Amino acid sequence: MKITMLKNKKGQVFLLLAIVILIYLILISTTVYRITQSPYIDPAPNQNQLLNYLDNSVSNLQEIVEISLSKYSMGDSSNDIQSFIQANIGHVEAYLDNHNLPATLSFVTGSLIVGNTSTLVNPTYIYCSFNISIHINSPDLYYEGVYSFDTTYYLEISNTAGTSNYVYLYKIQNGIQTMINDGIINVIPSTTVSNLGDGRYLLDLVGGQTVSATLPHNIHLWLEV
Amino acid sequence: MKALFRNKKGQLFIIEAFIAVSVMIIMVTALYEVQIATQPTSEPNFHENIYSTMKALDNNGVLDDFVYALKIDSVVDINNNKVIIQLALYNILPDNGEFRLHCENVTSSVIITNSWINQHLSLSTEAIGIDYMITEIMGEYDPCIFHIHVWLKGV
Repeated sequence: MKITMLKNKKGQVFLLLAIVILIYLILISTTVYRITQSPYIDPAPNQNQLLNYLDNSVSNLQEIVEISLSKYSMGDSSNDIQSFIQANIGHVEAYLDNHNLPATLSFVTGSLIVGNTSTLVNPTYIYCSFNISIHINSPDLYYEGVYSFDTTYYLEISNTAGTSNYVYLYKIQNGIQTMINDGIINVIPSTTVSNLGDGRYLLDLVGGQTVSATLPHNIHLWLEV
Repeated sequence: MKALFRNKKGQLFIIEAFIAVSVMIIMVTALYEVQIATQPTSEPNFHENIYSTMKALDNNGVLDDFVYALKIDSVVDINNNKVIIQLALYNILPDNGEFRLHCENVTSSVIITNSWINQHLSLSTEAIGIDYMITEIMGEYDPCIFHIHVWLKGV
């Protein structure tokens, strides 16, 4: 039978077609298999989304630094600040928990340094620094790290007396200096202050005046000239 | 070849071969169509863009001003900040993009009534939810979460 088929011209064509159909069937089944195994059917969790929530949480911890500085500049003690931080990092932990990032945040109490310098020495400044460890253990993201928050706000004058003096307002956050152009300067006894919009405030000073500044986040600094 | 056409069996064979080739072509075309149909449409990365925009609004003090205006119930400031937030979010969405936003006080778990933007819009089943939290308002501890829903109209 086989020999007849191979010798017969029609048989040869039939065999050839059979082989071609077989190849097509294999190709078709391979393609169907690939489509069913498409990675888009069950996408992996978006790591960037989770990292955004982590980034947002760190920004909120930085905001706790600003609140601490504001409170300290208005008379709270170092112990008050420590209690405040301990009591309020929980909402950041809950925020991470609610976004599929079960987290443990630990405030390293021994790392807290908060204080300000003399109001008689130019420049005067207020500072706050502490560490918070973050541990996240979720199936989508594992993270272990210690964040150092270190922020200092400065009030500086170019000269203690004379015309066309400058008051400089700036902050140094984790080593990066930023000029503050939306502070409010008040001088007693009163004098005209011009905000130059680049962190400099132009004014005339005489001995015995007090220059006070209200910085963003309601942080207060003053300097006796 | 001529013999093949004259012969009845030969004619049947040619018809058979023609049908086989046609079936194969149809099948391959059908498979190609299926493959195209199952390709995922490229989804715009709303989460990343919305997060970046909210962060920029936070860094520029807009979110703080908005929540402060809500606290002191200053209608003018509330509306001004809503306009800024609306412009910023629509700016990063496509023409058929839509969003809804409201703010929740974390301490009390209460939605701040006047914080709604586009409350009248019905939420699409395809909407994506994004949250953004702020903690400090004018030096005070007052954590709030902005809940944003984004979707495409007609999709």
